[in-house]
Amino acid sequence: MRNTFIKELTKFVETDKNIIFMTADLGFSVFEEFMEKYPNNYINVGLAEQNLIGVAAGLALTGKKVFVYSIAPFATARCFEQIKVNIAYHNLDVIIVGVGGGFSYSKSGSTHHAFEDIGILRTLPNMKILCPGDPIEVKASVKYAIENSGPFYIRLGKNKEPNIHKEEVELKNIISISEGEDGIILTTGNMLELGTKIVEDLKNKHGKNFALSSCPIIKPFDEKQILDLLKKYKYIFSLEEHVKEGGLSSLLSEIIATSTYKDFLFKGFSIDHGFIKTVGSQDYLRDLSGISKDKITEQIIKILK
Amino acid sequence: MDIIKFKEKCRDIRRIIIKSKHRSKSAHLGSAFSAVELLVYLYYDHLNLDLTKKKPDRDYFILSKAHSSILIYAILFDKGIISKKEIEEVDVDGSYLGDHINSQVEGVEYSLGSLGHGLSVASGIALSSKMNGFNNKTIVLLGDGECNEGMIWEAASFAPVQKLKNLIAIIDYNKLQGFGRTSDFSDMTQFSLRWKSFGWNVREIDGHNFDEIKSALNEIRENPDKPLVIIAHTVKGKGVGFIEDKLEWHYKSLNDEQLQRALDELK
Repeated sequence: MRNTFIKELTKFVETDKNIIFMTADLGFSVFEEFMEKYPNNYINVGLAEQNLIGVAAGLALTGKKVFVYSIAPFATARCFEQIKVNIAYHNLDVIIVGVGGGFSYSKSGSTHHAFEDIGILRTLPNMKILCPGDPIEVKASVKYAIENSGPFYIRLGKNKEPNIHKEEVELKNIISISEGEDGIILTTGNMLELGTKIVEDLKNKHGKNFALSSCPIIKPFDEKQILDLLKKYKYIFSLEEHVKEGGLSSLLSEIIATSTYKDFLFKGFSIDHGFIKTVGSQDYLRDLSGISKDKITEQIIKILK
Repeated sequence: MDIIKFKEKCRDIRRIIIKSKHRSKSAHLGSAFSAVELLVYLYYDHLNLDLTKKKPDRDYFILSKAHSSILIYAILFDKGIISKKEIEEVDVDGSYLGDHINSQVEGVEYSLGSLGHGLSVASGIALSSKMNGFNNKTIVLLGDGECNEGMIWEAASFAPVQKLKNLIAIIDYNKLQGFGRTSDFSDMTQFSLRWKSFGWNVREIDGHNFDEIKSALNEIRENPDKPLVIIAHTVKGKGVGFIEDKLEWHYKSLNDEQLQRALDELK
C-alpha cells in the first residue's frame, strides 16, 4: 500500500507544486525517488512527530496542502494533541498518513501496533478517516483527500497487500466486492483480503453465500446506507484490525442502535486481547486476538446455527 | 515611533488590560504585563501587518504563550480592530475573546492555548514563506515556562537546519511560571547557550527597554541564514508595583480598590 501511496502522490505533485510531503524519518527504500525528483516538496523533520504536525499546520495555514507520514501510532497517538489543536481545530488541509494499521508491524511489538488510532481520531471534529482495503482503494484515497479539503487520516497497511478490486473504484462508505443472500460482511482497511477468504470458506465449506463489502471511508459516514443494509440482510458482520472501542464495530453499533427495525443480527469482529507481549507474524497476532480467518469463520458458523 | 510615544502607548495598553481583567475577573494579568513593551514595539513599529489577513506576504505573529491573549486584544482594540463592546465582553458567554488567543477575532492569525505549539506552527509559516520566495518574517512569542515543553525543542532543532532566517522567537523570560520559579524546573543558567547550541542566533536583552528591543530585532545577525531567538528578561506584572514578580498574579483578579491603585500608578 505504501508504494502505491507514494506513486499516486507523485502523480499529483507533478502537476501541483503546492502539495508538500513530510515524513518523520520514515521511508527508507520508498521515498528516495520522490525526494530526488521533488526536493522542494519534500521535508524530513526527523524523529519529531509533534513538530511534524505543528510545521504542517503552519504550511497549511499559508495555503499548502500537506501530507505527513509516519508509522501509524507515531503519526496519531504520539501527537494527538497537535492533531487536535494545530490541525483539526483550524480545519487545515493536512493529510496524516499512517503506515502499518493494526498489526502490520507485527514483530515490532505493541509500541508499533496501531489498534486504537481510528477510535481516537474519530472523536475529533473536522477529521475525516480513510482506511483503504487494497492498493486500488489507496489510489482512490489519495485522490479523495486531495480533491476535498480539511484534515484527513489515511490508514495504510504496510506492503504487498493484493488488489481485491478488479478495476479502479470511486471512494465511498461502502463499496461492494461480491454479492450474496445469506448475510453481509463489511470490512475496513487491511481486513479486506481476509474478508474474501472468509466469504470463500463460508461458501465452499459451509454452503453459505455471504455478500462482501469494503468500508474505506470511516468518517464521515452516511448512516442511511447501514440502516438500509439491515432490511436487506439478516446477518451483518464487520471485520477490523482495531479494538472494538471506536472502530468499525463501534461505528456500526452506534448507527444500528438508532434503527427501529430489529429483525437482523449484528456482530463486529475486532481485536479482542490486551497488550500483546509476545511476538509473532501478523497472522499469528490476528489469531491470538480472535480475528483470524478460522476464528472468525468458526464464530460466524456458530451464530448461523 | 520614538521612546516617549512608546512609553505612552505601553501605559495605555496596560490600562486597557487592567480594566478588562478587573471586569472579567480572569487570570494571567502578570503574564500579559511582562510582554507589553515587546508587543507594543512589534505591533506599532516593527511588523508589516495586514490585520485583514489577506496579503500572503504579510508578517505573521503567533502568540504561543496564548494565555496573554488580552495583550493582543488590547492592542487590536487600541488600533480600532476590536470594538469597545467586544473588549468589554472578554470572557462573557458567547464572546470570541477569552483567556486564550482565538483566531475568530479579527487580526489574530492562529488560535492556541495548550503550551508548546507555537514555535512549530511559526516554523511552518516561515518555511512556507521561504518556499514562496517572500521577504516577510514570522515572529512567535514564547513563555519561559513554556520552554519546559518538549515540542519547543523539536522545533528548536528543526528551524536552524531549515535555515529559517525569516523566523524570530521571542521568549518572555519573566522567571515565573504556573506554580513556581522557572529555575525550579529547569536549569536556566545556560538558557541562551542551549539555544545557541541548537544553531540559533541568540540575543539577550532587557525586554522592557525600547532601544534594546529595537536593536535586537533590527541588527545584523552573526549567522544570517539562521533564525533568531531573543531572550527578553522581563518582570512578571511589570508596571504596577504590587503586582510585579509575584506568582499569585498569574491567577488573581483585581478588586475595586486594587484597580484604582493600579490605574493611579499607570497615570
